[in-house]
Order: sequence, then C-alpha cells, then structure tokens
Amino acid sequence: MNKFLNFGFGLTLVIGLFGFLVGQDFTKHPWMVQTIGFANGLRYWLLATADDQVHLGSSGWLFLNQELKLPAEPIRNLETRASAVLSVAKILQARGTELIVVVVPNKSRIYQDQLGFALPKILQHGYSRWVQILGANQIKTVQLEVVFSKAAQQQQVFLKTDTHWNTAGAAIAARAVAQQIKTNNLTRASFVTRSHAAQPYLGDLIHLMGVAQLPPPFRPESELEISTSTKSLAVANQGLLAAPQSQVVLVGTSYSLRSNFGGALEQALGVRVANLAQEGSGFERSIRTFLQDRVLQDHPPKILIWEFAERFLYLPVEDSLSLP
Amino acid sequence: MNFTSYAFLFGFLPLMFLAYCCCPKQSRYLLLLTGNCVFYGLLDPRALMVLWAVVGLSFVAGKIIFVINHKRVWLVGSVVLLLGILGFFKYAYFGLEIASGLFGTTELLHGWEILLPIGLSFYVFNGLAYVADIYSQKAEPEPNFLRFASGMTFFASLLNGPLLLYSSIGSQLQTPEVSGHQIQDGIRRFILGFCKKVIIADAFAPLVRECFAVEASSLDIWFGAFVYSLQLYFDFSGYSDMAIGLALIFGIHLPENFNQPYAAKSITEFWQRWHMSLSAFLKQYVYIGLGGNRCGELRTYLHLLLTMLIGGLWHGANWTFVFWGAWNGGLLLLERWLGVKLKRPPPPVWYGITKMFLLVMLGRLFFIAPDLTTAFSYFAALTGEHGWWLGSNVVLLLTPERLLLLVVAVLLSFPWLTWLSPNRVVPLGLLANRAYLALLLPLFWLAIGLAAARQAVPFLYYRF
Repeated sequence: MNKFLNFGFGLTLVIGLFGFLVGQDFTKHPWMVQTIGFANGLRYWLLATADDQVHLGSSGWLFLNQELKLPAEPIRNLETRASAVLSVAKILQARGTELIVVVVPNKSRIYQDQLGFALPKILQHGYSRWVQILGANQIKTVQLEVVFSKAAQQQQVFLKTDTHWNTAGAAIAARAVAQQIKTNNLTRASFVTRSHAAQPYLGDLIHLMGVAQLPPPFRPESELEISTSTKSLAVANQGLLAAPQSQVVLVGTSYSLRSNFGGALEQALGVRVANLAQEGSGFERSIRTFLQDRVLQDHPPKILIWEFAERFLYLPVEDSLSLP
Repeated sequence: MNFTSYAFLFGFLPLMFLAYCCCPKQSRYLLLLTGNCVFYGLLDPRALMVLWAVVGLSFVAGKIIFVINHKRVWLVGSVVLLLGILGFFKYAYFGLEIASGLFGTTELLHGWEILLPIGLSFYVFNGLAYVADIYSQKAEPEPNFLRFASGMTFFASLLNGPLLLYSSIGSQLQTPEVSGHQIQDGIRRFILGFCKKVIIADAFAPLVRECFAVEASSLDIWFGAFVYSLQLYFDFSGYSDMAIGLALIFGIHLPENFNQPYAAKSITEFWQRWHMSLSAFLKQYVYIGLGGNRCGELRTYLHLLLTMLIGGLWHGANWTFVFWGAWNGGLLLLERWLGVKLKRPPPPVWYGITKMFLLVMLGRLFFIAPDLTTAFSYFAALTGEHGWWLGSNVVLLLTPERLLLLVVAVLLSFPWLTWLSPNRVVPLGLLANRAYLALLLPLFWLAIGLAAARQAVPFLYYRF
C-alpha cells in the first residue's frame, strides 16, 4: 500500500512540475535568448545567411525580402489598391479635402546595384503603372522614385541596415511633397530644425535577423546616423492659440514616423502638419482610422497626405480592403 | 507536444527520465503510461479518447481471439472495428466528398468537421498487428491491460512510428533496464535526429513551398521535387532517430525505420529501405494476407498493386495518395515483370540509383500536391508550361546556408565512403565516427537555437 502511495505522490509531483515547466516560455529565458542569438550570429558570420525576412546585399546593405519577393498577381493587386485610392479621393473631395498620395519607392529599386540579385521585371515597372493610373484620374502623386534615384547618386537616402529612409532621405522626400502643395490659403508657421550629433544606429533589419544583441563579427556593422528634430516657433501673423490644428494631416506608415519626416515636412511647407501615421499601418490602416474619425469628419483638413510604401502595392489584397 | 519543442526538451523529457530512474522497475510501465497520456493529451485531449478506444479494443479483441473457437469471426470483427475507427476519423470526409461528386451536390459536406487525431494511422496499425499476431499464434495476448496500454501508447513512437509489433515491446516493459551505455547511445541518436530535422529538413521547408507555388516553372518543379525528397527523408528519418534514441534512453529497443533509402538501386530495394516498419507491415499483413506470390503470376501482380494502393491510402484520405500508391505499385510490378520475363541482369550502380531517385522524385509530385488537379499541373509544368528557369522567389531563398545544407544532405543520403573506398571502410568509418562525436554537442546547441530562430515546421508525417 505504502509503495503505491509513494508512487502516487511521486507521480503527482512529476505531473505538477511538468505542468509548471510546460507553462514556461523558454524562448524568453535569458540563456535561450543568447542561444538563439548566437545561432543566428553564427549563420551570419560563417555562412553570410540571414533570416528569410532579410536579404544580405553587398557593402553592408540589407534589404527586406518582402520588397524582393514576387507575390501572386502583383499588378492585379496594385490595380485593386488604385481603385481603393480613387474611392477614398471621392470621399475626401466631398468633404472638401485634397488628397496627395506619396508612395515611398522600394529601397531595393533605388539601390539595385547593391542587391546582387536581379529584381523581377514586374516589380521594376509597378511604380510607373501606379503613377499612371492615379495621374489618369487626376490624383496628385508625388513621384519620389524619380527624386530618390537622382538624389541617391549624390548621397545616401535610405539607411543601410533599416527598411526606412535616413534623415537626408526623409528631408528630400518632405521637400518633394511640399512642392506639390499650394500653401496660399493655409495658416503659415515658422519652424526650426536642429541636427544632433551622429550616433551609431542598428536598423530594424538587424533586429529582424535576431542578432542585434551580438558584437559586430556576428552581426552587420551599425552605421552612423545624424538625427534631426523640428520645433515650431510661432504661427505667422496669428497667435499660437488661434492656429487651426489640422489644416494638413499626414497619414501613413512607419516611414512618416522615422527620421523626422513629419518635422521636415512642416519645415518645408511652413505649415503645421498633424501626423496621424501609425506604426505597422500597412497600406490602409491609418487611412481607415482617419476616415472613421468623427472629429475629422466634422472638421476635415484642407489637405491630406497619404504615405505608404511601394511594397504594399503588390501584396495579396485582404478581404478587409474596402476602405470607405 | 513536439520532440523539437522546448517544452519537451526542457520539461517533459528530463522530468520523465528522472522519475523513470527513481521508479521501481516493476512499476515503470505505469509511469510511462502516465507520461504517454500527458504527452498525447497535451496535443488534443479529445484525441486521447480515440487512442484509448483503439487500445481497449485491441486488448479485448486479442484476449477473445486467443481463447475462443471462432477466431476468424472475431478477427474479422475486430479488424472491421479498428478500421472503422480509422475510416471514420480519417476517411469519412473523403467518402463524403466522393459521394458529393457522384450526386453532384455539396450538401453532404455541410456540418462535418471531424477530428483527425495525430498518429491515428500508426496506432491503429499497431492494434491490427497485435490482433493479427494473436490470431496467427505468433504472439500471446498481454495479460496486464495497463502494461499493454503503456506499450501501445509509448510516446516515443506514438505519433510517427516506427510501427510496432506489441510482441517486440511488451517483453521489454516487464522490467525495463536503464544502463549508462544505453542512455549514452540513446542521447546520441536523439541528437542526431534532432539535428537532421532542425538543421537540415526545416531549412528546406520554405524553399519547397516556393518551388511548388502557383505557375511554377519546369526547373522549379524539378528542383522542388529534389529538395522535397531530401526534406522528407531528413524530416522523417530524423523523427525515427529521435524516437529510437528516446526509447533507448528509457531502456526500450525500437526497430529501425530507414537504411539509406536513396542508395537503393531499384524501387523494390527502395521500399526495403524506406519506412521499413510500414513496408514490413504491408508485406506481412496485406501482401502475404492477400496470398502473396502463392497464387500465380497474375495474382502476384494484383497483390503487389493492391498492397501499394493500401499503403498509399494509409498516408491520407486523398486521391493523390491513391495515385502515389498506384505509381509505386506500377513500378514494383514493372520491375518484377522485367526481372522475370526479360531476365535482365542488374543495372550498374550509378544507373540504378539515378533511375530509382528520379522515379521516387516524380512520384512525390503526387505526394506533395494538395489535390489531383494540382498534381497534374506539376507534371504539366515539368514540360515548361510556365517557363524553364528557376523563379525569382526560389532564387531569393537560395542562401549560402541552404546551398551548403543541400550539399551536406546529398553527402549524408548516400554511402559515399563505401563507394569511394570499399576496401578501407573501417579506418574511414572510425574517422567519421570521431568527427561525428566531436561535432555532435555543438551541433545540438546550434540546433536548439535554430529551433526557435527559424519558423517552426511540424513533422511532415504528422498529417498521416
């Protein structure tokens, strides 16, 4: 009897301990984080291989694989999204808001020579197809592709280890957007932009590779990045309190939240910009939020700048893409 | 629970082992049974009931067949019941699909969402083998139900085999011994399987997926079939190695399941080396059961074809598996006919292996396709319907790591050392053994990291 009781007790203990251990997320334990990191680091160091989400280019350039991968029916997806933009433009027109579309070109197209990989032809011509469709429907589109291709010959416009543009690229993009906007009937403001000392920067692609915590031989080198910040001084000709807050609204993706793009845009426009961009917005999340916002429906801005990345144009269209 | 999950590696396995060592030998089967239930129950508690139904049914059927006079009736009855369980959970929806096609309506399919317990095909076949062995007096029934259940539900082989004959494991469960030597061998074998699965097989998974994407080119399909053949081998043989290693750690010997199948020189030889426990089961209980080669040449061909069709259907409820079985059956039949009628001498090794590998690879197009239309579209793509060269998405995934692993996989799939120096196998073998031992622990550490760093890929045979 005692034998069975002991056995039963032991068994209960084992099952209890087991239940406790199974409930643990071992991947979060510091020693497992190190192990996973070193596994990734070794792959990078020994075999020049990254996670499947990241493509290793030459001279330390990293690219997001999503930009390089050809999804099924990319042009059809692009055309579906163009139709969605046309629908949004109609709604905005009814509200008295002018739409400016800004498509951030793929880093992999601007720096094709660093890829070591020939981009599929469809991906090379998609951007112009997009501009063509929107242009034919009188929707203002900022052709950042042309601007960036030209600027990239003089200076770096994207971060090497990050998906996004760098400070210089963001400023160039902001100036290109500002050139498309007539600010005559907008309340002007003054801004000042300050540059900060260059700091080593580990891009999101290094984090995506899972090697950010490792020293350099096991991960790509960090790069030096000069950051900027923009402050408004005062609204010209009016008191600060009288300034309308949402004459120009910016919706979009993480690009609008990085490298002081919003600030550079304010500086270039000389007008306050309400930045409603969302991290991980994809093509449509931030515009959907904008369209559903009651306050913005009652007090629509004069201009809406809608930014998104080129790579989103080709991705399979989800059922939820019924924007208005 | 998956063998490559951290919960298994750092939770279940060490605790079970510790408890097993502390447990009196006579009671170890009880601990094992508890562990088996926890292991399987965590996957899906509902599936545990199906497992117990199969175990209970096999046990009772075995007892009755042993003592009763009308053994054949009871054998047929229990086989029908066991196959009924398999048929209901695995093939009922497939049957409804066929019926829907025949009647031209989809009404029949509505409201059917049937649970498919992982490993069902494996443990039902274990049960069938048990009752068949008692019927043919090759084995005696196990008197202790709990011991029988602990053997039939043994966690190491429950999900993906090797298929077990209870007679081979039952005696080992009486008083299982755990020796240091066995533990060492078991750990080594487990690590080998773990590395095969995590480092090699899982690296190929995204590549295979991309090769068989919509509108794949000719080379995409050829390359995809080649990589998939390697992935399947390293995935499934990796699982078998882990199962055999785990069993050894617990003092139990499981049968081998693979013997360098891609070194076979014919399809017949391939099936003697690939998934050996299933091949042995099919030969023993289906082919010989049907009459084998004792009923004339024509019937032998028919038996061969039927056996492979059943083997195909065992893998899943889909016409693709029926065609895959027919493909293999047809090839076995052809080989036999050519051997008997034309009395051709065996081909040179290089020719035999290349031919066998190509035929196996092509057959796998049925195996990997989700449906028959897709399978035929793969064959059409081989002729260049959507172009010839590799698609850009495939090229994108050809990282240096994958290229190296492809070379490693090819090296490990064939007995190069034996071919290159047939007379000096021992010294080279020793050298390889020492290198293997020195590499094993760092590789295991790397594999543990990779298991979480890469996207987790379930074992390919889980769906069977």
